[in-house]
Amino acid sequence: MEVLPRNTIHHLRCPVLDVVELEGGHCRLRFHAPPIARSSIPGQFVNVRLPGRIDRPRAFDSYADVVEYHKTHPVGEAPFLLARPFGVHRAGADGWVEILFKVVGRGTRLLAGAALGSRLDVLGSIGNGFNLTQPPQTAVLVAGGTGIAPLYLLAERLHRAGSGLVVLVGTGFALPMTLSDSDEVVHFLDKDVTAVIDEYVDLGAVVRIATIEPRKGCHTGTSVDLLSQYLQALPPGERAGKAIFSCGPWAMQAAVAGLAARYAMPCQVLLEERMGCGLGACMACVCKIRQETGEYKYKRVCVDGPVFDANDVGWEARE
Amino acid sequence: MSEPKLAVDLAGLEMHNPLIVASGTFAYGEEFINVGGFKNEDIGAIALKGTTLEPREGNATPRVAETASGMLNSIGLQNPGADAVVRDVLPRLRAFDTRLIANIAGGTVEEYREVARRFARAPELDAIEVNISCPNVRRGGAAFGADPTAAADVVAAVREAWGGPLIAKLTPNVTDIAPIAAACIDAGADILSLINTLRGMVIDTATRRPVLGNNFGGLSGPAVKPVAILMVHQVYQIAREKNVPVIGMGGIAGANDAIEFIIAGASAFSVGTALFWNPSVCRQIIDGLRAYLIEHEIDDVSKLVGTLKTN
Repeated sequence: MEVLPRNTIHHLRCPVLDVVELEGGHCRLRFHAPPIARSSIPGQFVNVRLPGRIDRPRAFDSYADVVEYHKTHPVGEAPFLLARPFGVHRAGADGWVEILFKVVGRGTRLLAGAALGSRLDVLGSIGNGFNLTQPPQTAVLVAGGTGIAPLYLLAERLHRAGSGLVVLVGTGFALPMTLSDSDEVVHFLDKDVTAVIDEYVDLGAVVRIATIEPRKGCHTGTSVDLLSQYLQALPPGERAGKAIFSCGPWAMQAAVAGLAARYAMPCQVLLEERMGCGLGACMACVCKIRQETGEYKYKRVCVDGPVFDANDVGWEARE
Repeated sequence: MSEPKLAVDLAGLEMHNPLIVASGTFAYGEEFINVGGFKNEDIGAIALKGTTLEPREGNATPRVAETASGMLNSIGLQNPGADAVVRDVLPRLRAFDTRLIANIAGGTVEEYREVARRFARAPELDAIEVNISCPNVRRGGAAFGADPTAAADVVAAVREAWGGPLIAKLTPNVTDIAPIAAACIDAGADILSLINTLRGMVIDTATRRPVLGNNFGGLSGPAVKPVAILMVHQVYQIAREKNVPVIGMGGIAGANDAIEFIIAGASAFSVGTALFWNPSVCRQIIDGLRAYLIEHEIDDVSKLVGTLKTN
């Protein structure tokens, strides 16, 4: 895969413009960062840190109000906090950037509780995004869980570049996007699989959803099932001009890579790993990547990735 | 008053300011320059990533875990080997107006000697730091640094191979750091640097497994600073008698932290983990240090070294 030249990584103090709580403990956070909004390539990420104290915009009404407030704004938080990496979800021409995440620990909890107007410490955009030098006729986007977040920016850019979109989303929990029903029948799925995500439909995408627990309009299973059925139904002559783009948990992406290899489809995967610096200096976020020599070596997810060719990733090297 | 003097000379390692970026937090010097506003020239010296004779893949992931006011890491000295660093990395780094310190590690005394020999051939190099304190490798590393005799053997071997400034990097994971510091000086170390990380473990209570792939790792960040300050103070008592400068490090995240180290006895200081959460920290520390010197009417940073008034 061609490696795009690295852009300047901006280190900015960015005011929080909006924080929206979404279904299933998800949060969509918008901040003002014009240089990052302008330069972000789909698949790149921002490293976000909440510096210092969070300010309460108004007086507490009661003791219960204080208690409620402290649930999301813990007292005595140490100032030390490593930045947390998030794929860019959306970026606006007027300079805003959005990230979309699930609250899973201390960092995401603090970010979800950020006061409007408070400033985030942001580094971005970082890493090699998806290679879009030759946009496919049809892009098949496969998302697991919050993997749908960075794929949205990709969908937007591909749509603008004229690619058709098939978006296959698997989720074990509630989706942080707008669900509705489509009356359009997709040929590779049962007729009752009708649930779609409006944000992707607006881009002209064919969207379908898989959920672990049965849910009306959704396929019961995983995004890998949806991809498998899509590829099975695809006549071999129609594989040309199609490419797979994937983001999600490791095991799901390993399965996506396996399907892509079986059907000889190009496939780019956006990986995530626990990071220290996000700049390539600490060597923490490594995974095994095949080199030109054929041997697998640890490469940094942050700056050597986070997007890799699915064929090059040493999937079995990790549990 | 006029601009205070920030330039320091540590046993022949002449730096335009006393700020060093700590080994292992700055790779091989070419990552942070991608951040807008960051300049390698703002740094007195770069301590390069710990390097062994042969390439090393490093430890299994996860390799880092955040802790209260700190970070646990177990990278395991992932590096491309000494020859690749000398051949490919050092020539590129000469473009920056900053000093270059190779940090060398090995599993045997002989490996340390050989790595030093390889680096001694590099005209770009300004100093060698002997890493006898890495907690994350099975052989060598901190095992050498925890014993005065073994530490002296490694330092003496490197001393034979390298004529320039030689730094011994000490581990805090010992009962008494003083005899180890003394042994390193007697074996030929020109400079002592401390502290490396403190050994620690983080457990995921859901799985009852250690978070790190290597089970344990080294703790760094603001959490370790008081430990480091005391050890610098202790080592300074020995080092100053022999005219050996000390490089202090451990949890420096701002100018005041750096000033604490200088007062405790450090002639220069290293910034490491703080770079991860604030890539602009180097510039901020140098500006803050300059302001402190002006405010206290000290015309040369060297005059602040070891000025601690104990109670």
